[in-house]
Amino acid sequence: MAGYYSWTLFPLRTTGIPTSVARTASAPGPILGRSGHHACFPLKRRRVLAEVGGIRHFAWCRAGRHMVIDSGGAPGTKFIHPLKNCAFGTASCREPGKREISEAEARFQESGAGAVGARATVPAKDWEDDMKWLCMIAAGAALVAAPAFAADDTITIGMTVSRTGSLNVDSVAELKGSELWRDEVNAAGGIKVGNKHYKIRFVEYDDQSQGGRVQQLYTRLIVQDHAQYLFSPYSSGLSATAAVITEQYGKIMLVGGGAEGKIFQLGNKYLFQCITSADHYLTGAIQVLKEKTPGAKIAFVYSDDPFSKAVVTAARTQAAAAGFKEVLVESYPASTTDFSPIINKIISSKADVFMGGGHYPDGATLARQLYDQKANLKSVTILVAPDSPKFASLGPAAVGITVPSQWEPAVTYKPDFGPTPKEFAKAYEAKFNTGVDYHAASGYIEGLLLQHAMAKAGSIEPDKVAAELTKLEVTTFFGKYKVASDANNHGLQIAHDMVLAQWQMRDGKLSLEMVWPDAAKTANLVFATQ
Amino acid sequence: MIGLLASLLDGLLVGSVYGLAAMGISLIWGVMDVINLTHGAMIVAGMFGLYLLVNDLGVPVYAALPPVLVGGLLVGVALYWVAVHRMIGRPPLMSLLSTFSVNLVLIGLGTAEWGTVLFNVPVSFPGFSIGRYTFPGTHIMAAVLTGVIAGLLYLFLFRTRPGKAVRAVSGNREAAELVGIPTTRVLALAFGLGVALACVSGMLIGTLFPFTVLSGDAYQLKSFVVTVLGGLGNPAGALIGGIALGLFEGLTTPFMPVSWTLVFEFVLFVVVLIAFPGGLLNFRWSRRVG
Repeated sequence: MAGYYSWTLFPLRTTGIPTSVARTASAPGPILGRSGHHACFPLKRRRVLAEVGGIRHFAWCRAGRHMVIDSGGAPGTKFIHPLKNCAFGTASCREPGKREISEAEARFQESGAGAVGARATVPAKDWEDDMKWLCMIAAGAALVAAPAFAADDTITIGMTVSRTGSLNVDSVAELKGSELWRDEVNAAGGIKVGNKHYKIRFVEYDDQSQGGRVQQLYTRLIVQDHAQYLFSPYSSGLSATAAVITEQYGKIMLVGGGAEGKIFQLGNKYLFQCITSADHYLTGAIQVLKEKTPGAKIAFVYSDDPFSKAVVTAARTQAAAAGFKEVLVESYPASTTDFSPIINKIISSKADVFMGGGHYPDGATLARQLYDQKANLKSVTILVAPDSPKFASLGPAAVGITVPSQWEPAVTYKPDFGPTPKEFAKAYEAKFNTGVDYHAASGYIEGLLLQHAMAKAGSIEPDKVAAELTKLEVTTFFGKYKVASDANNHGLQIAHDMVLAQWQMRDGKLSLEMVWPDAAKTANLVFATQ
Repeated sequence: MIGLLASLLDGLLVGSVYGLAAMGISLIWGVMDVINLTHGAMIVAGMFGLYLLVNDLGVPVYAALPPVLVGGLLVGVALYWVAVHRMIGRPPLMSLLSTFSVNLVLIGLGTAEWGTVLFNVPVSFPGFSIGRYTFPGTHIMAAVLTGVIAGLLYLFLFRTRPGKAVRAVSGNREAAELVGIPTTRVLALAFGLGVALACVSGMLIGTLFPFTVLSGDAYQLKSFVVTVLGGLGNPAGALIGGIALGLFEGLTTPFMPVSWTLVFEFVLFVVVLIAFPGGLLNFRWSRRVG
């Protein structure tokens, strides 16, 4: 028996991809390559899984466990078992409907020389015996690999942060919000789930505002750092990249920095959006304009990143429905530094309302140049950038700019649990000695919602927490939370409302005032003539 | 029609600043056959020089130009000894890598110190309007100062002894050495001048747009296009190339989506490289001997 097989065992949680391969059998069978395609299957019985270059690969495991078989990237791989819900190119997968990742993976194969001939003649009974043997070894390995988490009473949450690169300002604010939540929870003795208290530990890396880094780092967070839960990176583009990884590993990710709704339409089950989706970003701004200047001519100028595109696409439909005329629709590369040609186009189009922008640097430059070149606009709404307290450094160029905002410190929501908006803003400003914005609030809300869902579920088991997050319907200091539960939009935020804020001059100082909705407003909207 | 005119004028103004930035790269290449990849970082250094002088020391905006110019010259000479001197005469890839490394170090230091937060130097300088179109005073001032600096550079290169030495070394280094020119010092001076031009153009760009530590890359890329348009190693050509690029941008944007401008710019880049490898404006500024 032993002569026919070589098999390898490795604990998934410690390496993810086998780094050391133990050969326990005497036969000189080929050890499969590390960089090959992996296919994974939910299995209850042994099956012939694949045929590689005439050699069949088998896998077998106990019910509820998962097996990974590695074809070694050999040409001519033919998968016999139908490949459903399987991920290629990674060393692990999950069974549909199950959250758990196997404790160990066993790979074994019919080895080259002696076995090829023997294969056909091995009686079924012998196979069963072999498999039982192997299964026991696999189970043993699982026990050895068990101390996967740092400590029993600690929950590890992983995330990447754009400490460098173009998304730095907003992303770091979001991290600070999350850190405030973590420190408050730990100071209070941890999250109470059932009868146990869990402390929170963060593992975070700099993603340099680049999607490629996000992909590597989320894999690392899950596989190497054993993050049990994840927070999204900042921006829609990076969140979409991270979602591919977290979903593959069946990890819950709370999305506080990605507004684009597309990732929720892909059948993902463990993503939960905490902020208003991009489709409703400019709804408020359009509604206000409809009251103030019906029939206005709008110029849409936006960065060609996924978030801004999604926002503007939805806003154009809404603007058309509200009877506005669009006179210019123009996208620009995110790296644009000089907007003069675009502003000349806006002036030529005789628009009186401007909507668009993207993220921080381009939005601020746009505002400055619209002011310098006196674009004669009645209303300027720029995404994201004006919400940062640093926007005030633009001085007079900031006056009159409106920004749709996920949250402002002045909102008056009555929370079901957690801090009030005022308490949150005060705690944040005391801790970091800097102004609070919605990015910081969205960082905090990710933690708060996770904490609430765990407490309600009475468990930190991901499936139970996910079920809780799916059916949760609450109001916090951040506003309402409820996500779509149907398969087509699972996890998409449907209850949270935006507010509209405007930079106004108050006693010779710039301040960001809320102008919409009426229930929350701190000042009247001013129509600026730039 | 006025729209197109405004667009062209705008292109002319901003293009001249691109030209100034490219003059730095072109001068260094012309004299010592080194492609200076610290160029972007030096543009950013000029921007931050402006910010620190204006914001922290209260210097009036345009009075920041002389200190930035002199500072750039000194930094450039220092940089020559650190990163370039040993690479002179070696394959171009060596100096490319060496200056690129310095670039990464400088950008890294800048990011650690300031983050990638946006900085803005508010400048109010009266401009003028044609119809609905306004030309900000800062753009006009930047173009005028570019002209002045280019003129001064010309006077330096053609009317002073050190300037003539720079041209001599550029023409034939060995011959220059034979007639007693201290070529190493001249190379350091030329590198310093190139960097000073980058810093000054950065400072002028800083008066036009808000900037971050990472802004340099975009201008460095533009500088390469401009340099190729104008002919590598030819500072006067670089200035004209910059203006040409600005006009090209001004001419195309009214007729096509802005996101296409960059595509056309680089198509132009490739076409010029293939059809006119010496540059569109290949007049010689010093005769190569031997």
